[in-house]
Amino acid sequence: MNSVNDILIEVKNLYSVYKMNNSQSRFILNDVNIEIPKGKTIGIIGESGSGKTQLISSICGIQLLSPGVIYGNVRFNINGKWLSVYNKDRDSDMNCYLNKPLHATKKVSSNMQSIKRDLIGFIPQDPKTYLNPFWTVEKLFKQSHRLHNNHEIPFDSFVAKYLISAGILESKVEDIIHKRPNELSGGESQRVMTGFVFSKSPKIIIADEPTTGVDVTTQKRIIETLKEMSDNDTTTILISHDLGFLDHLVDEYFVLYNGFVCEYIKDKEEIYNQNNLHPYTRKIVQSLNRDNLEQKARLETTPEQQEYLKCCPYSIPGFCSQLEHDIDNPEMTYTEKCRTELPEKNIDANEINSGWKRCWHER
Amino acid sequence: MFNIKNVPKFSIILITISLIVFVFICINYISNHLISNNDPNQKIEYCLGIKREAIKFTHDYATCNNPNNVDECPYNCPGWHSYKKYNRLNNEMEYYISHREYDTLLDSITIVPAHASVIDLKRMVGSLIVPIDSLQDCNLHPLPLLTRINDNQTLLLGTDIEGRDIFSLLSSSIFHSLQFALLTLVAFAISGIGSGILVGYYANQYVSFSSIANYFNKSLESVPLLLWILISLYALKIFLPPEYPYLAWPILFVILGLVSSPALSKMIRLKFIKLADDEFVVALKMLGLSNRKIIFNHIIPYFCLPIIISQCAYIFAQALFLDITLTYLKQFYNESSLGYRFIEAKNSIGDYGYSYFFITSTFIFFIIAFMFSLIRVIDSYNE
Repeated sequence: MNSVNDILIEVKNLYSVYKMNNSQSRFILNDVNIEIPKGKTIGIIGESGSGKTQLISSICGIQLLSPGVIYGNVRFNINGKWLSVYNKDRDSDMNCYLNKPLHATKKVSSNMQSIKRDLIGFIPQDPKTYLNPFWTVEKLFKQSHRLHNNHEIPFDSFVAKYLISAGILESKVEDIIHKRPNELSGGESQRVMTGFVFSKSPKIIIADEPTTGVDVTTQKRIIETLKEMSDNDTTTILISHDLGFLDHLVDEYFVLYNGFVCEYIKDKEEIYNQNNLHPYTRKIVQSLNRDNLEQKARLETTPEQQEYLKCCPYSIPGFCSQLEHDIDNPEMTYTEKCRTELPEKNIDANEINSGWKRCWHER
Repeated sequence: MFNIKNVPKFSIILITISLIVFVFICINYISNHLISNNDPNQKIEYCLGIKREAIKFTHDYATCNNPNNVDECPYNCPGWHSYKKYNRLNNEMEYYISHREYDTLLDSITIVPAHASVIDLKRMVGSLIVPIDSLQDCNLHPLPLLTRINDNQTLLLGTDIEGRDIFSLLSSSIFHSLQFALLTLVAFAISGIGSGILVGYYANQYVSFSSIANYFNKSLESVPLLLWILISLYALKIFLPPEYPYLAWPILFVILGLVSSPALSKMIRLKFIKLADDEFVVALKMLGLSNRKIIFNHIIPYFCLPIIISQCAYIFAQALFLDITLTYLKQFYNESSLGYRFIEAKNSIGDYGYSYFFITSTFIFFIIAFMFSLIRVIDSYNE
């Protein structure tokens, strides 16, 4: 396990519940317990619908789905001080949550606001839609210049510095400054957003599927800029379903399966070591279509293993909570058991620095 | 090449402000040099032609006596042009002689009190009888437009039948009515925007509050506007303490604002529901902005302002309409309001032409048009 000082974010018992129309509750996140280490690049992988974006936004205190509630304890370690972002235990009766929605106390929410403003840089999937459509790039940068620079550098050189570092040509900077998001091209808006994030000089960078819908050369540029940032003291959290992209950058993996973190892989190379993987992770890794023959050979499976893989079905968001019958059925397979009751962490006592799994099959 | 984008926005704003200031200076110059600031209720004493001292009372009746038509003689002498006018206010005839004639016949006029009755006039045989007002051409109201009453003053819009300056009358009533329209607007905007935000943005956070706001909106909407006004009118008649009759007018205008607010609330709610889970708002949350800043710095000025301005212009017109309606129904009416001017102008159409009516109605029209033109200003600023 990590020592306390190495941990940046501690997430305990995080639940994100969504109220459906037929008065049933649906668990988008279910009992998430993770510790995000400092100064490393972390990849969060999982199928679409497994709750990757919801996990990040819940850590930041944002409930994306409405009506819904977040429960849990999230703490940030900032220079040795623990700042709790929110702190709300799950009630025993989950159905009454609508009457008691989450309210972060004023002090706690102001903690979160200052953390989000000063420490976190968020690079979204499609930056065009994430910018205020009426604001020019100049106005956007003026805000961060006022908030984070304290007028040490003059504004013109401030903008030029970060836009050029994000990969925009020096001759183009003046042209781009007066444009609005709808006038920017896809690559330009991606670079403007990265430049804006860098201008905050954040300690945590969160990138939500930064490569989907972007061409290969732009992908490479994004990888390069992210690598530059990860050389410094920053922590980077990458969300993606593309293992090929993550492979360039990531030190550690969290695997999300139907709202709970089913595996924590501490060693990057371990993801190609078949026998130790969670069956769901193995499924994701197998579906990788790679030209590298060596790695492909490592991924090939025997028919026996194929049957073993069937125990984890594909993600249907929140199905865990919907089927609450058949708890006492003795003939339950592992799959059905996973639906009704989540497995505990399976930590290997011999290897302290290894990751962990949550799987019935291992027991 | 000239590009509008290169011109700083600040200079455009400066130019607009200086234009507005220039227009105000012009209006100020005109009002100081051409128009006096008359008291709207004061009767304007305005006399043309001869002065009173110049008249001698030496007219011989026999010179213009016509034995065939004795009754009409005093007023229809040869070389004289007199005319009658029926005064509806006092239900009697008035006799006037136009002022142009006096210059030639200065020595042949007898002056009698202005409101002497016709029978009294008939008894006074032996002299030509002319009312004192018409002789001096004093108080020959209504005076026409642009009447120059002395060297410094010109009445832009003339006077009404009671001798009041229409310009100062209208300007004071417009100021009076706009105050109450503004009261309506404030009530309308606060309740509309507030409930819109509560129902749209905070619907999932403050469930009970927003459902109460929703309930109120729907119940206000279900009853027609005029019915709400009538209900509150009779409620005020019963419950308002008679010591404070002046409270009725502002209360009615606030009620109008509150009752018509669901229209605005609905539109704002739609915008907020659309934007609350939008990626752009999520990004603002991720940047660490508070809800208050997201609502008032980002969503309202960029997405809701055109809606708010157009609805406010509409409610401004509604408030003026309520003013006219209350005056017409003679309920809690206010004599210095624009509605009273309108009804007054409407009643005086038969008496002295349509000018007063047209002037009043065009003023109301211009106020409404001005409010609507604000939408264009906001739009051009956003572009």
